[in-house]
Amino acid sequence: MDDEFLSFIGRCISGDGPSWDTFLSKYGSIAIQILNKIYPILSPDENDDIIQNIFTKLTNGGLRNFNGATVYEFLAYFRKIAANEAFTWLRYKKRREREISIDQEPDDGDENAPSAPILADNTFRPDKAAEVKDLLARVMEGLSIEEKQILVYKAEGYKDHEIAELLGIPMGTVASRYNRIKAGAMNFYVAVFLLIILGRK
Amino acid sequence: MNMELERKIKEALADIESLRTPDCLDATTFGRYCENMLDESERRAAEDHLHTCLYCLKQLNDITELLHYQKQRVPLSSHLAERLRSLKPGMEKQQEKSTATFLQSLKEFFSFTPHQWRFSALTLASAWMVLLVSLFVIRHANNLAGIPALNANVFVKVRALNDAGDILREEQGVVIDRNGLIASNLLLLVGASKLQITLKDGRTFQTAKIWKDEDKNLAVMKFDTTDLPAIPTADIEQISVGQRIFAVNDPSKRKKGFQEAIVSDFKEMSGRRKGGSVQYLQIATQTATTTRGALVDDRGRLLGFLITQEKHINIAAPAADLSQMAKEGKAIPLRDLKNVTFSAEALNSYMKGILGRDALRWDEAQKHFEKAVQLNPRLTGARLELGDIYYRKHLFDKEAKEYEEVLKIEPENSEALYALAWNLESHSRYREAAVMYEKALALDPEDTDTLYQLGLSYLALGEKEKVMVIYSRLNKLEPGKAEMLRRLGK
Repeated sequence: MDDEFLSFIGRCISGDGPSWDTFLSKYGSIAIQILNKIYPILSPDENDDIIQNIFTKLTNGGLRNFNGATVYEFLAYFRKIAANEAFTWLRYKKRREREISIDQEPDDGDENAPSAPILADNTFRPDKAAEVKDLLARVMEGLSIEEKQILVYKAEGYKDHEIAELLGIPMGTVASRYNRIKAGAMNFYVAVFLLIILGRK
Repeated sequence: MNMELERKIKEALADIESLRTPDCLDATTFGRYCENMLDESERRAAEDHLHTCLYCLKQLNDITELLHYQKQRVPLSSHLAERLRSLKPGMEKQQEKSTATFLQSLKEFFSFTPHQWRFSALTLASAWMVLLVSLFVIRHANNLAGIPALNANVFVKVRALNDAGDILREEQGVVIDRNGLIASNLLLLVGASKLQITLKDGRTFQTAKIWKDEDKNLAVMKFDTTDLPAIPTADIEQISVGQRIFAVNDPSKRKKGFQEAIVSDFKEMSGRRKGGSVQYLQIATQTATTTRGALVDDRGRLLGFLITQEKHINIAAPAADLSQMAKEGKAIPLRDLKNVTFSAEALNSYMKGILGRDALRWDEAQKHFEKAVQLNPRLTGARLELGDIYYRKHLFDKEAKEYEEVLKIEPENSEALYALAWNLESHSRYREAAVMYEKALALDPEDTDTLYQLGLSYLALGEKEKVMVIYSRLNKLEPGKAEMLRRLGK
């Protein structure tokens, strides 16, 4: 399957028409969904512009530079490119707007500019990692992987029905599991609280 | 409690990349995990890691989301699909990029409007190119056109040696006659006790005879040989003011060896007897370097030798007299070269005096001539000029003294004889004047001026027979002057 995928990408690079069309329809739809998820405020026209930028980037060496081996790696790579292109496009849009409106009051910097989800500082910080690990160990103890996923989705602001779609489980299940997690956490904090009080006595 | 937990996770997610550890799993593992494609042991290992790593949980969520997107189909709008499809040709044929794309980019580069930077850059560049090319062309057109083709063997090396055989000076000489006459500047020879000539073909000669002209800084040497390549001499009558000529330093170097110059004036004798033959050529050069050497015209004929070595204006002696000098003049023995008084400074002052004289600035000219005579008392030309200036200023005693000095150096100088005779005549010393005129006449029997003046002297002395003889001689040469003499006689 991986070899098949790689040869498909190779055909796209060498300019095979049908492969390129397939690639477009498949990853175009993915790009639209990614953009809708990251920047839901954009109009369809703006989405089109960004998607065109994404595919231009891919044709100008983006595909060639992909050095992974599997479709999953390509998906992660594609998502990274999409997020970067969207961020760049929005920044230029912001600048253009500022250039045009001379008589308006100038903005105080890029407060309203969308944050860059991918361009974060990616240096490895062991202290923080240890802290989070500790948190997970204590708070999420006894939870399954799926429940932890639900927790992270929730923290990222996903709605219940979206989570249900993504994980392929009924919406009611999502809600009930989330409540159970919350209760578990509550129990943990209550236990700590009680222990502290008891310890004092 | 609930809120606090969520806040902590949110904080951690905002800086998710910093949580990445070297043990974290890759996208492939997550994808296979989601699609249940891992075997039991791998699955357990992945889950063990996922339980402890928030970064991997987040990655897992992303992959889950992407896999979900992959299953969904959101159609692209038709015009976007069209645009994206047109991107394809850019990807194909990456190998053929070189020519077609290069031409395309060139075309794009040169399609601009005047306000773009490319316009000014290109304009500046082309202006520079045009400037440089035209400068190059002008330079080379001026320098190379018209340089005559010279026989390099005509120029020989002349070495002046002292008693011990050391080389004092080494300059170039020019073969003016195929029977071994070589001309060069006199400056070269001063103080030498031996002269040596080396031809281009390696033959070496010693001098036999020398003639010199101190006024003109010229020396002619005669060698016992025949069959030398000689340079043709230009006729001074055919040279005009403004003509392009070349000062030759080294004929073998085509560009550096030639210096372009023009003839800017002819200097003739002024004073009592105006006109006459050309004594000096005035040469102008553009270069600020010292000019020296032989002068040739654009056909490669010898025009003369530079006397002075100034920067822009120089005086040259015409070459026409050179062979005549060897024929008529008196050769000096080689040992006399030690006694030759020579001063380049004196010649320069002499030249400045001539320039002042032509500009009718008599005081300035007098100053320069006096300096020249002081530096080199044997400069007869300067003394003659000085005498003329004294005559103009009515300083007759000083005038006579200068001519007498000239006659001490050159007893047969007809100019000095004539001028001194006139001076004596004006002091009513007719007998002495007549003797002078007779001497001058002996040197040039057909000089009508001298004849006429001699006639006047005899008239004043009352010697009628002698006047009649002169009248008959003058009548043949110049009847107008003879008639004047006859009327005065009555």
